Amino acid sequence: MDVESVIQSELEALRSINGVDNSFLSQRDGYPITSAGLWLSSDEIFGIAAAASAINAVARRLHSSLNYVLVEGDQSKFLVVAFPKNDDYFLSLTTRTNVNLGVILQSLQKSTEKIYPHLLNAGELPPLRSYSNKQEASIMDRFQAQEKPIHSPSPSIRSSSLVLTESLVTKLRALLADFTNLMDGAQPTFISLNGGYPIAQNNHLNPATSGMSAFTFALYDTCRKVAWITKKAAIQQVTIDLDSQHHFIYNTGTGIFSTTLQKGNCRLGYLRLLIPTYTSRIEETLQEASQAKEKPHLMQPMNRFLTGFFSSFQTQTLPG
Amino acid sequence: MLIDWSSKVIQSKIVYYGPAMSGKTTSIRTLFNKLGQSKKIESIETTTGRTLFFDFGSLELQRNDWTIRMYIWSATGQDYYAETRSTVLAGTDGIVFVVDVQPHLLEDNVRSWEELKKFYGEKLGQDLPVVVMLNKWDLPEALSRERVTQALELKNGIHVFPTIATEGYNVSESFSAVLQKVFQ
Repeated sequence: MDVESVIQSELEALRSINGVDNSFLSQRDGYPITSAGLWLSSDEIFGIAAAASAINAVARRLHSSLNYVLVEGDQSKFLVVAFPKNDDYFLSLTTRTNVNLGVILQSLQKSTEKIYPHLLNAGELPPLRSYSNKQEASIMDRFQAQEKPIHSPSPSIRSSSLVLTESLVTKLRALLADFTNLMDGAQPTFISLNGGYPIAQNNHLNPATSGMSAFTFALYDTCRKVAWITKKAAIQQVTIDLDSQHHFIYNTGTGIFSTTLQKGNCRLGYLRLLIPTYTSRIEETLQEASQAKEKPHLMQPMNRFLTGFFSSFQTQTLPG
Repeated sequence: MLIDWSSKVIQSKIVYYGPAMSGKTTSIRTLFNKLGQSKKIESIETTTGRTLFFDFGSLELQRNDWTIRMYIWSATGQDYYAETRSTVLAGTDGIVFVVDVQPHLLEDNVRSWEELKKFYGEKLGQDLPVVVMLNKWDLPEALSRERVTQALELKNGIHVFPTIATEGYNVSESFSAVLQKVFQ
């Protein structure tokens, strides 16, 4: 069998599992190569493939030992599955909610094992496909037409000033400390606001948290979009499966709750009960944070300071 | 913007937005280079080195007992990944819109600007500060400031800077200008 036949056969096998709607192989830049299953349109597959590549890329940036990303939504599940030792390609699956995840993951493992040597030995096969700018524009024009209308501002595009008081931050830290005490070895655990702003960590916030918070928020928000594209529905949680850890991301209304746990230390059923309790309490606490109607008095001095700081880097003349 | 009175930290987010290849990533890299922070930028790129999702970097400044932490993002300009742009814009305090002043790309600039306007409506340039960079200003065929202002229908009060991101010309100025508006 040639490479493409092997891949097609494996994708069809995955697709035939009860509850699986679609399976597809993508090049890491997001260009879909082969798929099995029925799609609403080519736009849908391109849109999901592009979002899947963003998810895959960010998850790989966050973690070096990625196995898969599982997005669990109200009406569907979505899986982005890495090939061991090959980051040029990845598999994606869309499924209904009532599926046997164990069976799917077992089959995925077999499929990746079968496909991987072919990808490894095939050189440039299957080709890394790309599309012209015109084709891309045409795809996206049609794609956007199917989407939530772009003129209604996305709920996530909000720009407001949030003021956190000392007591509120203390409350949030106490919640995180409580959670990490219950879940031995939950490191790191943090809360971020929409946009990726880190607001509290189980330890003290440190500079490294900024990047982690930004990337984790970006990953979660993209997962949210995939659920919207496929079923126009919300998501409940995102799980990133790693060799020895699970990274869980939950919605807190105004942001996300993120925690990473050693596999041996977490019972998934218990976690699924426990985490929503915490995310609700975090959400309630954050509601106490005031939306700043007016910027505080410290803005003007900060403005003057920033102006002075950047003036030392300014260019006076046009070069050349 | 997030103001944390507990740890005395102000967090703020600026997004570089614009059509593909207009110089968003270069602008950020140049800015960070100027500030001696070039290693602080992370990019989610395609195999050909173009922005797949976003670039991200943070800058931190101290003033008295307060810390200002600025998060600088750039959205991908490639239309194939257009769906990811609203994620990058979430929670932003200010936008630097990077125009490519080559005449044949005017339509791409307008399309990208219109996309922003669809996200924010009337808030763009009013509640949400915007600064426009006319990048690649050194090209002989560069569009005039008036032509771009007219094509984008820019409101009065939106600062427009001729820039050359590769050489750092007006890169700090445009960033400083958007920050001044954010902290007004």
